Formats: sequence, C-alpha cells, structure tokens
Amino acid sequence: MKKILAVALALVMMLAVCVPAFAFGEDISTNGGQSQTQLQTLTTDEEGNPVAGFTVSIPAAVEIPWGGTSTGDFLNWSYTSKLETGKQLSISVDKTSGNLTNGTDNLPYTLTGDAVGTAFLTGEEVTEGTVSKQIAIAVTGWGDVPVDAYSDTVTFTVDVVDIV
Amino acid sequence: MKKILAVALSLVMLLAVSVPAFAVDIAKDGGTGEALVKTSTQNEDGEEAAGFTVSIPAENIIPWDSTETDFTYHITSQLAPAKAVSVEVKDADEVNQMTDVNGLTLPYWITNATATMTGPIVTDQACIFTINVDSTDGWDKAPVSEYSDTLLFTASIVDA
Repeated sequence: MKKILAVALALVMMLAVCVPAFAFGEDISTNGGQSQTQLQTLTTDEEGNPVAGFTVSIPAAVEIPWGGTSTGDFLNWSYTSKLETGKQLSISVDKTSGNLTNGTDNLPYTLTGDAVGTAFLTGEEVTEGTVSKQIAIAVTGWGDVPVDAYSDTVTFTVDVVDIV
Repeated sequence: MKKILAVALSLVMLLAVSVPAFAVDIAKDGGTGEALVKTSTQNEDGEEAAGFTVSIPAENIIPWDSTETDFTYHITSQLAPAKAVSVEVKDADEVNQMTDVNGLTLPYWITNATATMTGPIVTDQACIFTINVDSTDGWDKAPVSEYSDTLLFTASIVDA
C-alpha cells in the first residue's frame, strides 16, 4: 500500500512540474474569422549566443625584400561583419609613418591607405563576404644603413560605432 | 605499431619546427592586433643584398725614373652591421720584380698595400697604393725598356 501511494505521489508531482503550452491569443471559431499572432526573431542563436559579430584579419608579419619590391610593398588586411542595425566597424592603425629599426640604425617608412591617418568606416552592418584592403608601405634610405633585419609593429584598433 | 608511432612522432616534431605566419584576427569591440613589418636581407630576386665592389685600374703606368708612383682604386660597399671591406695589393708571384720581354728585371716594392674601411657603408672610396722603385739599385741599373708585372688585389670582409 505504501509503495502504491509513493508511486502515485511521484506521478502527481511530475504532472505538477509539467507546464503545458496552452494557446494564447484569440481562438478562431467562426468560418472566415481571423486572428493575429506575433512572429519575432532573437539576436541570439539557439544556444543563446549573440550572433552579431565581426572579424578583422591582419597578417602577423609582412616581410619586405631588401630594397623593396618593384611593384610595391603592401600590408593586406580584410574584414567581415554582421552587426546590429545601425552599427558599423571603425578600423584604424596607430601611425602614418615610422622607423624600421635593428636597434642601432633606422629605415624610415610611410603608410598610405584606408585606416591610415583617419579611421576607416565600413558604412554597413553586414558585408557581402570578406572585404579585402591594402596599406602601401614605402621604405626609404635603403642605401644608407647596413644590410640587416629591421622591423616595427603596426597596431590595428577596431571599434563598433553607429552609422551616421 | 612501433613504426606507426615513430612516423607520427616524426610528423609532430616536424610540425613543431615549422613556424607558419598566421593572421591575427580581431573580433572584439575595441580590440587591437599587431602586424610586424620587417625587412629581409635578400632582395626581391632572392639574392643576398649585402655586398661590395672594388674597382681596380686595368693598367698602372710608371714614368721612367719615378721612385714613387701612386695608383688609385675604389671601394663601394653595403655590408652587415660591424663589417668592413679590406683590400690587399701585392705582387702576384710575390717576387716584387718587373720584367721586360728579354727577362731583364727591375725591382720594386709596394707601400700602402692594405686598405681597410672603417664601416659597412662606403660609397666610391678612393684608396691609394704606391709603387716604389729605388733610383740607385733600380732605375740606374736597368736598361731602358718596358718592364711589367701583375698585381693581385685581394678583397675580404672583416670586422669593422
């Protein structure tokens, strides 16, 4: 008897936990009658992760042959974005010129291109695939310094800002 | 099984040695990333860029009875840091005698025979060496003729 009562109580408790999904809104019960229901997306995926995001890809290193390349030397970078409405990427680098150095001597260089001097604004929330960009690197003074490995770092900063 | 493990371990070691240049991805609002800009010591044709040129005269004419005659050659270099070009001039057969077509000899010696640059960057640096012929034991004893000898220039890279 006690066992039967225990099982019955367990079943009652399980049924109490269940939350049946009753329909809400109006029931249509008239021929030709109409009603409305709301269809809405979330900004998160089925795992609950926010889907808005972006990727700006820059090379870990750019190697310039001694004397430069006859067709020019470039830092190639790219971006993709899928942002919320009214948002865009703002991408900038930390310098317009600098010195490649071996610790003793310097090779001056200048940068030109998008994101140099002025932040580059993508102008859209969603990109069609990956957008490729180039920054030209012009090094001077090759004949004035000993032949060696000279280097410097260029820092990219990415912000999500409003589309104005 | 041991052979499979050995091959697998070899592959793992090979991958560990390789240093691929991965891209840096920035995916955070306000995020930053760095790209290293660096030079190679090779030019775009893959040749080592460091080098030098020593330009020597094809002929060095000594006027008769001249006891000291200066001659000039030029050095241009762009080397690695703390390196320099050094050039030595000497008689190719190390006898220090000019000879004519009949085998007659005229002794000489060289001064300022070695020139060493002070640094890796040199542009058309003029270097002078001197051919010395003694008047008493040289010119006065030599029948008038055209005497000649071959000089050897040896260039090397030394620490500056």
